[in-house]
Amino acid sequence: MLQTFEKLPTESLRGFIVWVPVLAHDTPLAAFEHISSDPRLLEGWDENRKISDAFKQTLALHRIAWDAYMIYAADVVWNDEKNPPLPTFWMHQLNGDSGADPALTLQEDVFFKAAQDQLKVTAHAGQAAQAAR
Amino acid sequence: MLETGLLSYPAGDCNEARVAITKTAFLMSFLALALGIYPASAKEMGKTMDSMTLDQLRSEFNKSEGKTRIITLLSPT
Repeated sequence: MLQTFEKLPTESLRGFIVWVPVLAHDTPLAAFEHISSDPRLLEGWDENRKISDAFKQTLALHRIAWDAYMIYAADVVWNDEKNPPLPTFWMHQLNGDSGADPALTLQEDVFFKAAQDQLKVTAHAGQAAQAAR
Repeated sequence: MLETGLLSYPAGDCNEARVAITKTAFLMSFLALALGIYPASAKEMGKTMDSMTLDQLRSEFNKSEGKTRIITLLSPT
C-alpha cells in the first residue's frame, strides 16, 4: 500500500490504513511505529475490531478481515451505516480457509496496476465533465 | 561531581548516577509513549494513532468522493 502511494504521488488518491488488533503484540503503539508521513493517508486503530467485522461481512470472509487491500473507484459512495461497499478491486494475504479467493492473493505489481487504472478512469471522467461544461 | 538538573552526585558515585540516569530516561521515554506523547517528528507530521470507528471511516471515505480510495486492514506486527 505504501509503495503504491510512493509510486503514485497524485492528490487524486486517498488512503485509509486501519490497524487491526489480531496478534498477541498488536497495540496502538506498535501500529504507531509504522505510521506514514504521507498526508493522503489517514490511519486509525480499530480497537474492538468493529471495522474489521464490517469488512468481514462485505468481503464474505469466514475469519477476521485483515491483510486486505481494497481499491474503490472515485464515484463509490458508502451509504450503508453498517456495511462498507464492495470494493472495485481487492487483494489479500489470507489463508485458503478464510473464504477469500486465492486468485486474489496480493501481488504488488497487480495491485499497483489496478490503482493506476482507477486513477486513469478518474482522470478521464474529470476531463469528460470539463469538456461537457 | 556529576550534576543533573535536579540532582548532583559526588565523583565516586558517578557510575551509579549514570546508570540511574539511563534507567530514568528509559522509563520516562516508555511512560511518555504510553501516555500518548510521541516523538517530535510524528507530532510535526500532525499524526497520532487514534482509535477509528466505522462511522469515522465512512465519513472520511465519503468526504473524499471524487478520488480513488484505498482501504487497507493491517495488523501492526
